[in-house]
Amino acid sequence: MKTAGALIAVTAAAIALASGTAAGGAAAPEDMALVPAGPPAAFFVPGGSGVPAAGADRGASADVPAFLIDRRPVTRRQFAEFLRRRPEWSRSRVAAVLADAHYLEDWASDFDAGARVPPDAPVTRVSWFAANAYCQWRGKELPTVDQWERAAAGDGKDTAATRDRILRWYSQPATEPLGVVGRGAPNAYGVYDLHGLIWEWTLDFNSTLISTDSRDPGGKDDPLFCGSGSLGAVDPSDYATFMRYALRNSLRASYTTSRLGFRCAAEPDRP
Amino acid sequence: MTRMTLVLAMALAVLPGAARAKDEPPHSHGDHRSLDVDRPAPLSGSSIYQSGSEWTDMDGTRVRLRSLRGRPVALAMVYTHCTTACPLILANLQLIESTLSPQARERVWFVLASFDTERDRPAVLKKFAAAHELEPARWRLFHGGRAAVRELAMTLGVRYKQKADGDFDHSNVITILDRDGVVRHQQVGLGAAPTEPAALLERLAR
Repeated sequence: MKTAGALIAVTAAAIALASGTAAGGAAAPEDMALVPAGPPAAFFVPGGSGVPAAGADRGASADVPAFLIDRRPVTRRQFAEFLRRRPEWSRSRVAAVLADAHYLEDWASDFDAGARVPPDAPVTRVSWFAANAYCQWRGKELPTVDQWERAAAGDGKDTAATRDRILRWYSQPATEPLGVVGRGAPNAYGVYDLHGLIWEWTLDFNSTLISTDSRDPGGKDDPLFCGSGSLGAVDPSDYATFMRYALRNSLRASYTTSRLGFRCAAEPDRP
Repeated sequence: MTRMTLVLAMALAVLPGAARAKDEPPHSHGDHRSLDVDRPAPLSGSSIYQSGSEWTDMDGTRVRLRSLRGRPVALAMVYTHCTTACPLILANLQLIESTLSPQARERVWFVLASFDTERDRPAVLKKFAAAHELEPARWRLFHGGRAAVRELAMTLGVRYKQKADGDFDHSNVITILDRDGVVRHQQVGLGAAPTEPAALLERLAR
């Protein structure tokens, strides 16, 4: 097990080195991992199948440029620091249009996360607006769906066993208090907790299922998504990815839930 | 003496706001509180003007959405290179405009906010407005940066994605805001005539 871990670390270092060169020698800060440029993790079959194809007309050439991504989700401790610096985001002051009524409701008070959950557990019960503001405050941005999925796909060795593990997690009722970040093994890029702890906001979560129907004068844009769409997915057995797309599609930017947190991303040249 | 007291009072009134403004980057949503001195009534927490993102209007003036405050608004996100859905959205907005009473017409804003951060520069928007005979006294066309566009779309629940050719897939939504920027109605899709938004806007403008 130790050997496997070391091997992963070496692989990650090799990838980081190789892509570091490609990205103009940019070095990643310690708390961020560099994900090299590459194709987005394909999910929908491009074109022609009548499927709402998120990436249909981008073609194979539209690689995701290299990017940095936080190795760990943003923690309650980190978010408390943000709130002290930006008190307008504290739960008693935040505008209703920017966060729903359950925003940070599991905190002891405006700036105190409380002791029930460890301070290094991921912050949840945050809206997209709050997550977005946090990342901007850090000089970063939320990762796009393409970036997040690319980071989560690791180096492409997403085995059936991994998927089973992810699905087992998805199927567990979320009753236990959240554990601390960075406990499990990192993936090939050195990123922790992409699966198994929380769901995460993405910058453009509202973009995934736009179909060309929106250009059809008679078309409404709401019924974009249904179970039969899975027939057109690249891999119909990839339920885990499907569930992530479905979840994102169900969100509004002011929503908060007990299992939805975030991490930030950045361009390699301005970490 | 009275004069000094006045100066002191003014300084005290200004300082707390000034202190906060100093700590805020220009794009933070929080700094509106200190800038809202000319609008004493506190803004509803449900107002989309709580978002402080900056836009540029077609005359090149930097504006925030809350500059619309005081009039009800019919708003849509579009882009001017769009040849299919957007002209229909515009036609629907113009249809709303034509059904309003002359009094109401003078008391509303029609707003187009562009998805296209690259091509829809203020000059392009101005040309577009002229070409479609949009009356400048009530039509506002906004150009914004990536973050402003994303934030507004999130606030309105508008979904969009830029395609490789620079065009956008997007949901077609006409939003009616009251005088304080609170969403009162949204018409999604292009199929229906904008009867309901028009009637609501007429009521809100009275």
